Amino acid sequence: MRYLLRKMSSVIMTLFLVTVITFIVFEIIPGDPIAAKLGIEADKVQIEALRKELQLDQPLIVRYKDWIGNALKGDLGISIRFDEPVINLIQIRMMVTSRLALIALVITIIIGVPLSIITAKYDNKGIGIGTSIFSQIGMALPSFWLGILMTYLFGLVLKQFIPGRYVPMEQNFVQGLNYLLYPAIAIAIPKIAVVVRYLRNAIMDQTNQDYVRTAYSKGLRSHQVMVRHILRNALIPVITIMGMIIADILGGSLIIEQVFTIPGIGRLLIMGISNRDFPLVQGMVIYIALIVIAINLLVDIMYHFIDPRIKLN
Amino acid sequence: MNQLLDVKDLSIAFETNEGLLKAVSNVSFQLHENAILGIVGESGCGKSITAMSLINLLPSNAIVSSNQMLFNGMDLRSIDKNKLYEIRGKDIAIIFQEPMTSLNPLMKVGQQITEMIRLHENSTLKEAKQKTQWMMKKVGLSNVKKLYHSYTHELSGGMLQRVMIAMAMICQPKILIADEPTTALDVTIQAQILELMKQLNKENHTSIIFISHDLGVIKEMCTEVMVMYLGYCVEKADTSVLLKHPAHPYTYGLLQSIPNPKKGKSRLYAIPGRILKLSERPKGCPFCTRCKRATEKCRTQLPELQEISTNHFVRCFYPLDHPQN
Ligand SMILES: Nc1ncnc2c1ncn2[C@@H]1O[C@H](COP(=O)(O)OP(=O)(O)OP(=O)(O)O)[C@@H](O)[C@H]1O
Ligand SMILES: [Mg+2]
Repeated sequence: MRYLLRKMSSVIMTLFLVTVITFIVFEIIPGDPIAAKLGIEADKVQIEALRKELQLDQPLIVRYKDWIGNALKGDLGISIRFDEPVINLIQIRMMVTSRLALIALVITIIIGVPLSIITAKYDNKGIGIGTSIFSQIGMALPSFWLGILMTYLFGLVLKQFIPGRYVPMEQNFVQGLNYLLYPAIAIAIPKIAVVVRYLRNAIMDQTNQDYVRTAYSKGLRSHQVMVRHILRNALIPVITIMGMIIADILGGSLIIEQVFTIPGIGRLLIMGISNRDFPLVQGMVIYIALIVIAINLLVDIMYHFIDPRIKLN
Repeated sequence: MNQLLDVKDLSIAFETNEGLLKAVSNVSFQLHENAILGIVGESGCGKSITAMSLINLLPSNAIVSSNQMLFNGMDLRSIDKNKLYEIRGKDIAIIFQEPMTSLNPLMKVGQQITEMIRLHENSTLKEAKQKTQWMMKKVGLSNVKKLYHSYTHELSGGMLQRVMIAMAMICQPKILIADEPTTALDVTIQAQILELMKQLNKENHTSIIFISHDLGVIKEMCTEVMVMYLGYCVEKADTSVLLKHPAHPYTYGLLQSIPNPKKGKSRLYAIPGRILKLSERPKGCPFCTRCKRATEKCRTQLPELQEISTNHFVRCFYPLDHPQN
């Protein structure tokens, strides 16, 4: 209970600060949403009308008060650029991005975890050095570069998909999956390297522990010892990293969405910023902050479930 | 008495950065049904690894060789993997030296016992759970329903050791290896645990290999004793014989260093000199660097293990206190 209260108050503080900062940043950076919307040849009357409508004639504090008042009621306002409720815009795009992130996460786990187990099992020098070199390289590869490489290889050479096109899953599930698969792989590769690097070490650390010998002495086979005993213990130091990876995957997808022209949150954010569409950006900032907070919470909860020694407090 | 275990010329070496280190040399021993065999010696003399090698639990850098390792007529050196998995836990179970670290910290202690049952017996989860709680009660744990769901960090060392014993005994193994089961515990709990093991030995006819560095404890527990020094078996006899007529100077030293409140000695005896590292093993008798009676012969030649009276073996050129000497 105390844990929840403390967590909640820190969440509220974070959200408050984040929104204030974006408001201030938007005030400081050059650029004008009205010019972006009406073009430079718009006449004075039009400009004035829009300025009033967007409350740009009011002081910052008043605007923030209005905005937060509405936001608390669940109304994030109307996008200047798209003339659509911000919530709708975000929700549609969020579906795309979260699918992309989910696929990338699944790939990361189903390849990263077994690879860690296998490389940890062969505790010889060659494999050790090989693994660490490959994971160093993998971690150093930027996602966008992998994205470009994959667009070239799978898009242009092997013709697995058409670069620049996007098919939503709702329209055609298989096609849609295909269009998300390659960007997901581009996101996943560096993350797999991170997982292998940390999880392999964690597994090797655990393998020498006394309780593992006890497990063998009971007559468990090595895969049973691995799954029932070692893996869970090895995951503890990796959970935090997993949280960072999930946040990173969401972040990484912002860039990858540009490379693969996927209409997700990343592209929406970039459009919002370049059009100085502050209701939209403001709304997205809240959304992203919420996601990061949710991931943090998830990591805490996962710790709690995996490690009985940790009490939430 | 039937021989349950017959090990001949067991040697163990480790591949390390400093080269090949010999840790156990030509150790032979037998374990009879219902017997409690004690293995005693100072820290590092190879007691644990000798026992672990029986069911192949040594780390991968260990090289084990022997002329024979018979369990119930089966050669443990050549059995296939499946048979080995079956023997582990079911026929030969181990209580490890460190109760605090030898159980999985993330698994409920009850589940760790239940896992053993489910592995070797065809029983439903519910039956296994009941059996676990029954056994936990039997080893002297109370409030077992709640304890079943506890984790290692919530229990004391004594309780964990009882859990270990319950786990090792649950499938009624033919052989129980107890590797210093009480070293990590305080004295009152020590006595209770020892009593418990004796009782299990009587009731279930489980033979025990009891490892300790304390001859005082061995004296209470064992029917036979093997004394080890630097990887060698230096003396082996029935407990009563060994206590009355220790033939090896090292055994004599160990006996001297058992605290005896009746004699009211104020100072405890300690064997002079230090324990050697594996890499420093002398060419001759392993004990020659600390032996008052050592001669030039002791320093250059390794004495053979000889039978000085029935079932009393000693590895010394000049055995003590023997009718023929
Ligand atoms: N994996 C290993 N690599 C190298 N040497 C090892 C290894 N395991 C054990 N040894 C060495 O083997 C020797 C015997 O170890 P063992 O654990 O059997 O001693 P012990 O008699 O049980 O001592 P203690 O009373 O401290 O438990 C020790 O000197 C130890 O250093
Ligand atoms: Mg030991």
